[in-house]
Amino acid sequence: MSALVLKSINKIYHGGHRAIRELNLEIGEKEFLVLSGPDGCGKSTLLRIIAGLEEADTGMVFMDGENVTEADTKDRGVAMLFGNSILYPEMSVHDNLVFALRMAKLSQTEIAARVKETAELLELEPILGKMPDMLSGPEIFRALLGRAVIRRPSVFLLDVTASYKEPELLSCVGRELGRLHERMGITMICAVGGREALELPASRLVIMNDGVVCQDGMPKELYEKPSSRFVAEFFGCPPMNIVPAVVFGEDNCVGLSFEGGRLMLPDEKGRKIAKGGYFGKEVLMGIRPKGVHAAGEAMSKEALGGVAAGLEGVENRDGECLLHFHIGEADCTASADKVLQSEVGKTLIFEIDAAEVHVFDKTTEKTVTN
Amino acid sequence: MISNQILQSNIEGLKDITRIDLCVCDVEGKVLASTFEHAEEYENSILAFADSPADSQAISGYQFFKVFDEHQLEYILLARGGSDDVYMVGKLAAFQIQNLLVAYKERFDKDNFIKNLLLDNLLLVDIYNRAKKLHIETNVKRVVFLIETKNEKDANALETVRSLFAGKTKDFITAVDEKNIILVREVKSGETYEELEKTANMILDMLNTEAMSRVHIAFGTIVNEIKDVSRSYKEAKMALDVGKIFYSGKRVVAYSNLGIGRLIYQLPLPLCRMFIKEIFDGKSPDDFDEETLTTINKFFENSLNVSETSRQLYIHRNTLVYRLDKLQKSTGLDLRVFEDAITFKIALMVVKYMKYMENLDY
Repeated sequence: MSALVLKSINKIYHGGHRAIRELNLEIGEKEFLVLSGPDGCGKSTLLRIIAGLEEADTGMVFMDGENVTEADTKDRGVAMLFGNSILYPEMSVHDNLVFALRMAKLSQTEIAARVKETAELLELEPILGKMPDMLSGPEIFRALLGRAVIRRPSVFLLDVTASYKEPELLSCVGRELGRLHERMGITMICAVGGREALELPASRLVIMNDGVVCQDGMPKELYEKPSSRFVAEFFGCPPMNIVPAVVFGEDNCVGLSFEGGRLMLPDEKGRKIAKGGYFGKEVLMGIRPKGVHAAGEAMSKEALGGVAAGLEGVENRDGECLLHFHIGEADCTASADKVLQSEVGKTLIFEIDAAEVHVFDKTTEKTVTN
Repeated sequence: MISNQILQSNIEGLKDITRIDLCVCDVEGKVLASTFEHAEEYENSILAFADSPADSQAISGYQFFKVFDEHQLEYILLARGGSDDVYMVGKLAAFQIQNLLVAYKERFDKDNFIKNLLLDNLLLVDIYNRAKKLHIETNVKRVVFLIETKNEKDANALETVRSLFAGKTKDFITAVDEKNIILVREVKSGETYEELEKTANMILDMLNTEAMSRVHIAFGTIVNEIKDVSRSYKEAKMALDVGKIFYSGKRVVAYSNLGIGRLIYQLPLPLCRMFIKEIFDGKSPDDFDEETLTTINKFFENSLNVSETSRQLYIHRNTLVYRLDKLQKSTGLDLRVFEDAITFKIALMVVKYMKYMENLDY
């Protein structure tokens, strides 16, 4: 049975802004699902609807098969951790953990048992007596997690969109959530901004934009086979290069021509484009930076095309060298194994790996090749 | 009245030091805080002790103590054990709770003062006299946060806010009615509205996740003197209302960010009706189909940029132009022209305001 089912959820704010549009989603038991998308895409609203903190205009929410659409947050068996949550500053970690349990009037024995269990789970024993101002960033995060999971929720909702953007803290968040998910085996749904989604050990990733699910799948699948230009550009850093191109046919093959170059596509991609009736039409060619190489680097036999462009800049990022150039008016990036600082300003041949090319419809911006 | 949380942490603290179990009950024998299980079994003994003239008594392995508040019996304290040491600890605990009552009474007086201050129930001269008596500084910067809970008498929400600001002795937290909690916060020098918004968001997230309460939060402008605190409160109240009308997606609203909505909120309804009649010629924007409304909203969101709007709506530029032309024909307003766009935007906001007010009336 699915832990959570969302059926035809719609949310319109006064003023006509549609935060969620006809959204359907099923989340399996013990799944770790990450909701990602740009600011205002509806991921936080969706999380709040699941929690019961926001009412959907239409649609239903089911938890463990039970319709909880009208139920209060307290009765949904959820625990939450949102980006601006803090530890009660005047309470020790222990008192922070038990605060909600005391409000719920749980017995002393039950509270003690839950504290022991949670402290062991998150390795909080050494800091139980400490005050929040004595804790490091990762320790605070662990204590916040503890305060949420001590409620023994069936679904744990996290919204870390606004916070945890520092790389060190973000990797700690990823590590702790992965460990928590593995040990507790609860259903977890986490809303994050863009690149942060890559840092989390999600079993499933849902990309949202404008209130709808754009793509839903394994993180690797979304990266390698984006369903639209939006997903291609949103997921991945640096984003996918998008270049206007025109489809042509030659010697039973399908190719793309674009400003400054031509490229023949592998048969399978060509067949899909031909099937869609795109001959002679304008499309958008997408290629990830790792699929573009400065001339001179080894390429597979499939790499047929290239483009001559001036190298405008070289950037070193996380041990990777990125080359910046333009194809027509499109900003493009290529990855290189070595730094080509001395080549800046020169015109280079950038070879494009045809196997890595994605083609999107110019109007709908949906994929044609995946 | 001292909260049960405070009583609990007090007796737990004492137990950690003395290793003696303690329990605090009200005069009806109801257990308020306890360090041991099954304290409710002693209800009859507690009631009998409460009726007796004794100040302390040993019954079935426990020592009972009375805690008074100005000669009025307030609590019964139980200490487990019959030894002299237990008696001494029980006496100390009772004394401590009695002193806590005094401290809380002072806070209660302050709460009352703040409530009256916010509701303009005090003369100017009384404000300063009473503030001086209660040791409340008069010339410090303050701001009022107004927290509206969805459920009435949300004790968890009040307890959460109190615990968040427990260390800030110069801040005041009080429930003004069954749904509204007020936080009068002293503003640190250099603290900006952006930081106040962060504080509001922190309160929001804590109330959502800890108290599991649905809330809206608004805050007024920073005032320099205690007599102006009620102004900040009124602004927060207005921000809460205006936010519900024009920014319903926002759960935190600052008075300083209300923009044109603040002006529209103060317009008389007949004037609004007249304006709408003139603009839409008796029609209502509700008469527009969903596609047109989405187009209009997206066009405004993208600062009247045709290319970006058509891209985001996944339509051809010419389709958008056609829709805008159609709208121009029916309303006489060309949304691509700034003057017309602003008239249209204001008209849409006025309609929203009218609808809200009409729903409020019924």
